[in-house]
Amino acid sequence: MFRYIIKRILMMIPVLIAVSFVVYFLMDLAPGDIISSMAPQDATEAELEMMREQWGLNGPLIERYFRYLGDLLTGDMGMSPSLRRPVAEVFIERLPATLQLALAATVVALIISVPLGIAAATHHRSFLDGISMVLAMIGVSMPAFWLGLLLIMWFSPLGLPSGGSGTPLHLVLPALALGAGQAGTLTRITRSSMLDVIRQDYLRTARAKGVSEKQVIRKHALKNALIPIITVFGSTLGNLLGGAVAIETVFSWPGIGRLTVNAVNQRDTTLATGCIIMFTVLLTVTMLLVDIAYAYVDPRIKAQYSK
Amino acid sequence: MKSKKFVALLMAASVLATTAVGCGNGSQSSQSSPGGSGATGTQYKEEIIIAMADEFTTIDPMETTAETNQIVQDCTHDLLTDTNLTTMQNEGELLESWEMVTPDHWTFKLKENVTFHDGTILNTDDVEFTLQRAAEKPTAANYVADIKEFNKIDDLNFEIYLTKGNVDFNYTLAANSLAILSKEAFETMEESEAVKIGTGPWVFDEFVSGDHVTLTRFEEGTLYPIPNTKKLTFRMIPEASARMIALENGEVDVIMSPSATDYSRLTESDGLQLITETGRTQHFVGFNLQNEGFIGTNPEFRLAVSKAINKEEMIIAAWDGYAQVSTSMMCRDMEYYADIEGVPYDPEGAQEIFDRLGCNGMTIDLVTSDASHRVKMAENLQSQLQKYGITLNVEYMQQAALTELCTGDGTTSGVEMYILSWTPGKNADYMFRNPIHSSGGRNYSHLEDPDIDALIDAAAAEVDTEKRAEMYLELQERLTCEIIPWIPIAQNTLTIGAAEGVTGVLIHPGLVHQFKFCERLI
Repeated sequence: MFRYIIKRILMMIPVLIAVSFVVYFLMDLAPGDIISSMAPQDATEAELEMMREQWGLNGPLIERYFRYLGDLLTGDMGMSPSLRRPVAEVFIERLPATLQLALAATVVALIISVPLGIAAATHHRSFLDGISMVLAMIGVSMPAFWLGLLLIMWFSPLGLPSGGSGTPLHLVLPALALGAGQAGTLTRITRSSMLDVIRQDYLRTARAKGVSEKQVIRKHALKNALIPIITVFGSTLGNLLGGAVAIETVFSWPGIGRLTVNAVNQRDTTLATGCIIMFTVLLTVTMLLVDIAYAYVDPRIKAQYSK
Repeated sequence: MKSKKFVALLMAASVLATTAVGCGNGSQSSQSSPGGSGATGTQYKEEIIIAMADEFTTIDPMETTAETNQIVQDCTHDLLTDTNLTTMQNEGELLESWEMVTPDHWTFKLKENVTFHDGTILNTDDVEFTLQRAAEKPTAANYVADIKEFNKIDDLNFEIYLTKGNVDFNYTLAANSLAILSKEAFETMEESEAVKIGTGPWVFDEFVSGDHVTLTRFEEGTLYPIPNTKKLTFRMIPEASARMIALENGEVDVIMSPSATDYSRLTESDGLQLITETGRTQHFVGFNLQNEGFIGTNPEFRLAVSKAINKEEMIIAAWDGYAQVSTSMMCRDMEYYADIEGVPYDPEGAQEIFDRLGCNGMTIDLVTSDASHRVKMAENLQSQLQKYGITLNVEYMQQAALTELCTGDGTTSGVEMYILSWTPGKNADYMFRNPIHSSGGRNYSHLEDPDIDALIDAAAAEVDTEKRAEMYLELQERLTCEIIPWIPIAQNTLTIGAAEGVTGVLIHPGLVHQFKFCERLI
């Protein structure tokens, strides 16, 4: 298992180099540069060049990229021209807000989806099942930013903050908007996974032995239905981070999603590349944790790793 | 039985949600708690919250040209001279008086007993230090590039010699990047702390990246009366609809850049107000004069397009009517603006020229940015030119990309027509030098006319105001009616949304709105 984890961590290195290369080059290919938007309207070419030099944006693209990569290897993610601060410092400052939002959205998604999925499966083809699936479909189909705007319109007149951060109440609406999509996907997968499991012979045996229905569902069915749920949960985490970009903008949430969007809009290559690299690290580590979680849920997988 | 439990769970969740909402209401009402009180016992709101569209990034005036930063800096720092937003005249802010001895020799006197936030008193050393620091900062260097010599006469008096004559040097000193800093603060503090020290009525208190900036009133300030508001918070809310909802809910007191679709809600709703002022941004339709294969290099064609555009119709489409028709290239509130007739709307005259030039069936490319008003301007222009048999292919791109494309090599960029805008500084020279002069950094039309260049240079150096006015009149008439590198369309109305009772918000035509004296009666 330990070897597997090391192998996965080492695999991250080429992924990160590839990501940095693609982002850095794509940002450079896009027309416009941050210096011309930062400079006064009447700045001369010499002044623009002076500013490019100040922010390390002078010289040919390849040279700049390798200079950036070299700095990155020493842990220096560079200075953001738009924020005039070190990228690492800004990222670390903004990261907790995004993690907080992602965690809250995950909790919302799990609180909604697992009971709803189980209820839908145990009441298969009932009215409750139908309602659950309709709600799940709405959750999956509705764009997060649109739901966000609706939630602001519905709930902020009642006193819930429409944006910003600072108190737990500020988290309610963005977490609901972001968690709804994930909840929809997870409800559907919980339901289908549970439906597969509750038809198994060993559950019939458990019931015949007189085990209560609650015990059958909680101890025997749910644990075995968890593997596909975890698989889908892992893959939806990527969507969650992607969704955070839109939700953070709608709810003025000071996280890294909004930071990245601003960086791209302002053509701040250093900041955008840094943020996307860190996003990749975050996602890869999360996927690794999900993989490790499999092993704990399914002893067969753990045994496979041990070989 | 299980269904009942499920329903009970749902009910419990809704009770929890209602409780949370209730808590929200409580915190909202606490926002309205009374703060300072005026001399007559009038109660003012303790904290004014201003919702801004863009992110604040730095308090250092020499590190930025972004309006969002400058709005906050305007509350904390002062300039030697500034535009009085009520009279629109250039006046001394930290200067008591000044005199132009000759265009390249100026003398100045500072106001007495002006206190910095660190308790030190403003003197000429602070001014000298600020100008020296500006020279080292790329964003500010061009404002002080012409300073040859700075002579301290005493603590309050100094003189400046310039490398070349500049009759508008007092306007140059009004550049936001030249906000006066405390020399002593830089000697005793870290630079990141020292830049926060200004002489403004507000003291920099807290900055939470991506969320808000908080200023507290400067209790020991001597330059301004102590504000009635205790705290000024600038919150960053990028979405226009979210800003509007936050204002309606009482979460914020003022919103910047409300959406045009919300103007009626702001004017018609009880408890809300729309503050308006004509801006100093000239929106125009331009031509690339160096694109050899393009018919727009022919001045007759440009005149025809100028006659063909119904500007009022375009204003309704782009700003819902909240703009003023431009008849001159120069912006209205600027010194030496002449109310010329320009090129009036004349569809028959336009048709005649188009027919003569054989424009029917012609297709022209136009580039502009994806900003909503520009998209609407372009769509409207498309439909207006279609009436003359001219098809306009419009390409939308991001602002940075558009600027780069239009300032690039005009012979190879492929640009034919474009829609852009120009927000000049406070003096008349700024109106023409950058977007018109062949050496200008924003000469999007790539106009190269030695006569016009000479006229711009001569007007800038002219001391006699009457002669100067004549020169600027000639520039306006020739550029607007004969050469037409671009067609001035409109100066849009700048708007700010505010709650009832909010006063002291002054709209700056150059978008650096003033909140120094913002307060709200309760």
